[in-house]
Formats: sequence, C-alpha cells, structure tokens
Amino acid sequence: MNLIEAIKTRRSIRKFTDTAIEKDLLLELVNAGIWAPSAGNMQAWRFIIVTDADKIEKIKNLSPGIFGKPKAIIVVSSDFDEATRRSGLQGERFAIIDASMAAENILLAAHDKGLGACVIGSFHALALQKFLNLPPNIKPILLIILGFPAEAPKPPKRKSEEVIWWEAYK
Amino acid sequence: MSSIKELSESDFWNIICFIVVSAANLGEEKKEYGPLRLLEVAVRLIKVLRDHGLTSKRLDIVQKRIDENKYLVMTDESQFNQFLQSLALEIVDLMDNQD
Repeated sequence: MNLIEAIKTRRSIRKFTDTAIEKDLLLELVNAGIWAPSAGNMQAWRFIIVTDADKIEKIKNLSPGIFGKPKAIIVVSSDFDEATRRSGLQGERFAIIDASMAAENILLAAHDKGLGACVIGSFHALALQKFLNLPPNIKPILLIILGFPAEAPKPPKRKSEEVIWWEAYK
Repeated sequence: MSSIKELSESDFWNIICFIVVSAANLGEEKKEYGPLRLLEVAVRLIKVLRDHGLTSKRLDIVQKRIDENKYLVMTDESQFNQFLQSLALEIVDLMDNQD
C-alpha cells in the first residue's frame, strides 16, 4: 500500500470480527513501532502486548474508552526513569512524544496488514499499571486496540486551510 | 441464553467497573464523555437484559439509537448534543409502550 494512501485511508476501528491475530503479526506491528524516531535515540518506549481474552476483558474494565471486543491490546508505555536519565527535564515530555510516534507507526502497519485499530486515551493509568505489574517508572501512555475490522467508518472532515500557515502565524 | 432469574453478580461486574473507573477519570476528560459513558452504561444494561431473555421493542430502539449516534461525540459535538436531546424526548414517547 502506498504510504500516503495508507495515511489517508486509515480509520479508527472499534468493531472487530472474532478472528484472532497471529502473534507474529503483532510482533511485526510492534517492530514497526520501534522504528519510529525517538528523542536523542533514547527508545524509552516499552510495549506490553495482551492477547488473552480474560485479560483484555479486565483491561476493558479499567479503560472506559474501549468499545467493542478487540482481539489484542498493545499498551504503549514509557520508562520515565530512563527518559529522565537520557533527556533530563525534557525526558517525560519526549517519552510521551516518542510513544505517540511509535503508536502511529503501529497504526499504519496494522492498516497495511488489513487490521483495524484505535488509539485509546481513556483509561485509569494507575489501575492499569497495577494490573499489568508495571513498576512505578513504567507508565502507560496510550492503548492500541486491534482486531480484524467489522466496520468501515467514513472519515471525519479534516481541517486544512485553517490549520496551516506559511512562514509565521497570522 | 439464561433466564432473568439466573442473573448473577458477574453479569453486572463489568458494568460496575466501567462506572467506577469512569467516575475516577471523567473529572479530567472532556465534558461530553460524561454523557457518552452514561449512554454506554445504558447499552451494556440492555445487553445484559437481552442475554437473559428480557427484551422489548423500546429497549431495542434505545440501543439502536445510541449505537448509531454515540460516535458523534468524536466528530461533531453539536450534533451529539442534539442527539442527546432528541433521545430524551423519544424516551417520553416510549414510556407507555412496554412491548
């Protein structure tokens, strides 16, 4: 799939079929994530891949933003200790930016492979940290829910002229 | 499908979790997510009832309307709010139709 076509045809998918996702495919997606740029090459991101149906149901209980029944969840997290060690006071901000760029790679790779995905920001971070046994320095930044799509939503309108300026903001 | 008499704690556990975590999160989320979470609870309750053989035309109507319109919250807040108001008015019409 052409990259620009992939960017423009990707949608947030929240309804999934019952088909499971192969582990190798999930690894391929996460590997696309780790090829994203990172500040000072710090690569402080951490990825927790969840495929167990019972665990997914429990994560849903801690994440009101999840709709439908995803077949996998990638918890995109960051090691804030490493980020601070590598990037000082900017570390936490960079860690979030890096995790977001990795997430976009994962979303596009998922789309390219015929999977549907949606980024979830509505979850209880501390509860999720506890549930996944994450140490205090590893913080979940966002969740990516995945499955084979059972819907094909239309794209919402995109702002264009009103969000672009040349040379300086007017 | 089990009967309504066989409802168990676990049928409601996920919904209770959803309500509690939503309450913890909503203070820091955009305000339209409050109505969205309530609509989601309504749908989840309807699904539990259906799974136990308790259905009605009006419950189906409410679920269908919610499922068709809830994502407006992501794309058009004004239309989402209009939908909420129109659904509240539709509820009035459904009050005396317990089919």
